[in-house]
Amino acid sequence: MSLRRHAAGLVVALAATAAMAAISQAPVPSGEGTTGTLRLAWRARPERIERCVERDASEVAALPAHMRQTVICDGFAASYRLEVRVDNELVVSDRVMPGGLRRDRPLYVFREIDVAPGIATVDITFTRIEESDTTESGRDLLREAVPPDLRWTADRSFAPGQVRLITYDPQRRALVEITGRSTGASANLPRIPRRGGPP
Amino acid sequence: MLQRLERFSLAALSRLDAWCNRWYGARLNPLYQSGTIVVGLYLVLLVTGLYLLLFYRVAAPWESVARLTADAWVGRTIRGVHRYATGAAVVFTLVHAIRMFAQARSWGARAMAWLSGVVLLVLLVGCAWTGYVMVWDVFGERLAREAARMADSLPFLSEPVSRTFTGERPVPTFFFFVTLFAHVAVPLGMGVVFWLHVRRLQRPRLLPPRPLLWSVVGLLIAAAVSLPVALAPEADPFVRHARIQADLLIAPWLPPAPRLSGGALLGVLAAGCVLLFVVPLLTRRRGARQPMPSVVDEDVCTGCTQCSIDCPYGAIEMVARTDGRPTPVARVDPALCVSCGICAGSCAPMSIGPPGRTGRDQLAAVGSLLDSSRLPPSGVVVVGCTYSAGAFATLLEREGAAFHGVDCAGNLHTSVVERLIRGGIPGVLVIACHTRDCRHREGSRWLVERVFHERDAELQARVPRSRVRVIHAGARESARAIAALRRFIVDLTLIGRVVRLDDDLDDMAECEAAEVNEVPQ
Repeated sequence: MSLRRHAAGLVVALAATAAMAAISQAPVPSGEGTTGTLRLAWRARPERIERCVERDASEVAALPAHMRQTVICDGFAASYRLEVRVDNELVVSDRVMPGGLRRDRPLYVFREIDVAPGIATVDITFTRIEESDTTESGRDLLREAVPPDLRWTADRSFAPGQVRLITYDPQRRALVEITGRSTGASANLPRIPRRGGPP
Repeated sequence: MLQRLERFSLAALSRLDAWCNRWYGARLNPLYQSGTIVVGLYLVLLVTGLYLLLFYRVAAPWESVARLTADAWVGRTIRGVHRYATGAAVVFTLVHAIRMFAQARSWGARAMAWLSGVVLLVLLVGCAWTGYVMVWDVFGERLAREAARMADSLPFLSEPVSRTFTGERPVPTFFFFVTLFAHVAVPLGMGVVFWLHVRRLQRPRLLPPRPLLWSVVGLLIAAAVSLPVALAPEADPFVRHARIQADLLIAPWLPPAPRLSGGALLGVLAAGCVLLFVVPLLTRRRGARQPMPSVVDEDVCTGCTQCSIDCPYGAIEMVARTDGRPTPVARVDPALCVSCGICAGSCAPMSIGPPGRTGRDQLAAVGSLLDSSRLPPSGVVVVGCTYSAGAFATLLEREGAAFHGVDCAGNLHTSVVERLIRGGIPGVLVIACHTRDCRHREGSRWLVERVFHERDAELQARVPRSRVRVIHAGARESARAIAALRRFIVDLTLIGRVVRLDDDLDDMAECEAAEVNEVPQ
């Protein structure tokens, strides 16, 4: 094989390697980052809606001693309507069901909404769908269930590529905004919410 | 449609092969060695990965990689080699797969090799995926998010995995630990699958020739030094970048991914995998196009075991006879036989081979060639592999040679060459595929050994080697073959053999036993 062919082979090998290296770190459009993003993400326990029936004394007496409950309750976990308005335009209207096949698990919300850069009025409501005769019971409060009605409204500026995160704070039982960096295992914990909460 | 794609791939590959043969020679042609190069790259990845593992911290992933990258001489170079070796492994795996597909080596007894190869490719990409996530830069975070998006589309996960990366809380250290575990465990799993991949091969060649291996390593180091791998900004869940530095060899689907839902993206990737997995079914030859496995004439078999030794796929075993004779007899496993016919060339008494291609059948075909045609004008009969020389047979005939095609050069019984010489043909030029490009792995190699190195069934010593020549050429190397043919004709003229040599047969025994024209690789 001639020296010329060797040289050509070397050039081809170098070019192919350079091409492979370039392709392996090619700057490409990511398909995102041109708009702002409103991210809704939270996990919460749904309220339990119960219908209770009171037994009369004769019914109770007919039962074995260990089954003599005077009030029998049957219930289910509530579902919620999530609505998001950006500049008064409804952009999300979803029914959020409790998790699990039997709908007895916590509910999860995860939505990402593109928002045009600039200042926008964001209005988020999270409202229980099922009617309930009773007010929040002490048991619901103990379980840290999500309140029947949550709302978060604010004017926010969105820069291209900026993500604003709205989540549910179980301690305050309110929707809150989390800002700043909280990435990586070594990062700081989320900062204290700047603004928000139920109306 | 698929067979049209096979033909198209083969034509493109043959052209690339021919170019690479010109530049690097057939022995060091990286396209022929694609499978072994991947194994070499796997070792490079293991070595460089072990070094990187020493510095990686799951509690501070990006920071630890940043510290490593700041070490411009060692850390950055080794990281660059590790990363570029991954890309090269994907490229060479694809070249290897395309070669197997184009040469119709993806079905039948080879289906297991194909399927395990697809699994290896999936594992390689998956391992690279976890490697990028471990860095936890913008690209790694994006890969993690896309994987989570796909996982969320599955109906059995009650909690969205994507919430891990929303910024509600820091990404747990456990996540990076699991990713690191997967990144280390998957290559170990690949070792097992690789064993399956080559399990049915006799004498699998695992590594490329050393000059090629070190050239590849050298190129990777050169690339890592001259085109250092940049470290992208640390992942931040509150910032989305309009442009990211993505490895398109690992994630070519990334740019259009946001336009698809998680389920659709998962569906596209899964469909791609399924398509690769069903290739053996789609390319399988049926009916008359399905080659028949070799058969054994037990009455003739002497039990010499040569066919069992030569079979590249371990499809022949020697078993005890039931007729009382003391020697064993060859037995072909049809499930393993790919009908390469190499056993036909290895059997001196011509007792084995695919139907219609045994030594006897070949002799009969050559007999009719000698009966039907006159002496070719150039005095040379070219016996060529139909996969390579068959592509330019008319050009050879235009040069005055007669062309006789065989399915594989390894299929050629040396008695055919002798029969041609004895039949008055002054010279026999055998054109085989390049050794590393033989569709039946070892056909070209065994042919050369049988003709020049007395491997059973060897070309008899009475046949003068000066009248036999073996060359290797690909389907797109007609110029090389024609040049060799012309040289051979000139050489024959010089030794005064271009005459009808009826009286020359007595001289055969006096001829030198071996005039090696081409040393086996």
